[in-house]
Amino acid sequence: MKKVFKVVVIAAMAAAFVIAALFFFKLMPGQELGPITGRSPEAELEGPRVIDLYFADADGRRLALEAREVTTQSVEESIHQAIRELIAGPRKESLSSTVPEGVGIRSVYYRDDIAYIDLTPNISSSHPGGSWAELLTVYSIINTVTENFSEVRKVQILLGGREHETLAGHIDISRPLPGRVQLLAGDW
Amino acid sequence: MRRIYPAVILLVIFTFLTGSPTQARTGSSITLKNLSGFGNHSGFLNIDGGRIDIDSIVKAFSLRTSVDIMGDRLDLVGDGGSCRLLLGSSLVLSKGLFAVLTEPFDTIDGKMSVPLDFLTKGLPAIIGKSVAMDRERQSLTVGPVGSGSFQGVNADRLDRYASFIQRDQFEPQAIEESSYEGLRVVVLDPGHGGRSDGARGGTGTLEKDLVLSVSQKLKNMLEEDLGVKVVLTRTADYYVGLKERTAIANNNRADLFLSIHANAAFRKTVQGYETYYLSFSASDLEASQLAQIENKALGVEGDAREAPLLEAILWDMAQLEFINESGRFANQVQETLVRSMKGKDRGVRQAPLAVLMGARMPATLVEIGFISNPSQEIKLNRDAHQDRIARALFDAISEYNRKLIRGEAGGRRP
Repeated sequence: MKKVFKVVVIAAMAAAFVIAALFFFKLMPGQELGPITGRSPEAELEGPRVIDLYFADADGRRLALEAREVTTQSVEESIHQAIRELIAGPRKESLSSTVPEGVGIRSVYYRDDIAYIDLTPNISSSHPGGSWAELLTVYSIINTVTENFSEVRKVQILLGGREHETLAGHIDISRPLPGRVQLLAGDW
Repeated sequence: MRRIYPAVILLVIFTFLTGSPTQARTGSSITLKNLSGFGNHSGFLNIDGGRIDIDSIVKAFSLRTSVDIMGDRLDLVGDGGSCRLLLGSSLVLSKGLFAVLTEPFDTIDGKMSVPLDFLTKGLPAIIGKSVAMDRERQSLTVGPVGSGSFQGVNADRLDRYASFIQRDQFEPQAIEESSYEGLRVVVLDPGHGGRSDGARGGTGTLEKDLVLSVSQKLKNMLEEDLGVKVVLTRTADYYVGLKERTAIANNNRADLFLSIHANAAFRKTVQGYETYYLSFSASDLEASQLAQIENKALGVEGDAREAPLLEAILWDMAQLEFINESGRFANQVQETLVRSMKGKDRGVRQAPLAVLMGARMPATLVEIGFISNPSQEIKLNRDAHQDRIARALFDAISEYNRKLIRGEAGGRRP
């Protein structure tokens, strides 16, 4: 009887030790217990896909959609292509550009859910100015990225490789920002 | 076995030594009586101008305090928890949440003080008991042990933040009564300047010149006809940073901040008037950011590299407590401007305008017409037209001031 008791106690202690060890290793910081799941930035996209570009309506009150096909492979290249199309302007007469002519894309990169869109600084001097026009410019870029590329949660707009407080003196772009689809209805 | 906790309900009566709340404003003590005989809350709360000495709160509720090296943060620690106050800020931070006081925590004549509503907004978090203030009976009811709750907001309630401020149990208006004398200092902000031209009209009119001219006209009108002190963020054609403009308003303890801009659009046909106030949404302040505030404020993290981020978040939140008032003022400006100028009403809008962030008073931005519209550009260049716009803005400010005095608006000091 005593022997059985002893065995049970030893077994219980061993089990407790194993459980404790498991907890210990699981709670250790920096331990990676498995491969990181999720899509890498270099994940390949399949063939051409249709995306919605965010332009402005004629009255400059709200954002409005126009479809385009993008064909490139990586997320970064696709975003680059989408922004290039956005800068080129709408095809519909009823829509208005949101990015001034002559603005170039310095680079597009993507890291930790955030897409960085680095534009040439002449966007500041060539922008018409006006609070709402600037808001539409900023969010036509941000929405075009966040609403078409589910990998991207926020967009950081850079000018000449640097963060700026605003694009043309009004709207805050100092940090990564999420999209605002409500602007399709003219609401902030 | 049923364990009976003693019902620790303390009824603490404020006895106004001077008898009248009007006199209380000019500086008086309040005796804190403990009728039930439980607990150790007794002493004096010194009230001056609707504010309470930190020292007297500490003594009355047996709190511990610690001040950081820079002297700009005060931690109050009691049996129920702690909270942090930041000098010059109206925020009370505790347990990952924040509440907004009607006035900032500040040092006046060498004494640290908070507005009265700290008793209901901050104190519960420290003593772990609910605190209710009954203005009618001039009493402060300190509730049962464990009932203390911090009336803060968390990230997913930020969209309803404005209603939280209005829902406050304690109504500070009762203390301030009708002593509000209206606007004293108005800061006008002529947009752009120097290297920042702002919008440019087809014939070369620059927004920065136009808005400076209108601002100067408005300044004269306000000083002569309304008798308020007016400070311009720039008085000539030079560049002033956006944060600097707000800082000028804060440093002058302005009651009102009006940024004056001229509008532009991609299409030349667009015209009309727009008035803005700052937007806030849950996406502006996310849970992770609030967590950082919490960690910083409660001293959990010591990473100094993140301090600028906290500063930025607090700066962004400064306008939050005035947002209702900013909306009210924006509506007044828009309504008066559209009516006076018989122009197209493009509405009052909210947007993340950098120049309004950090303003510790009601703040709006007005767009006085589209310089990108050729016929509007011609008008905007005329001196008489600029006079009319300045007069319309003057009318809006003086009407807002009338409402402040009549108690229909809250202003900077509600």
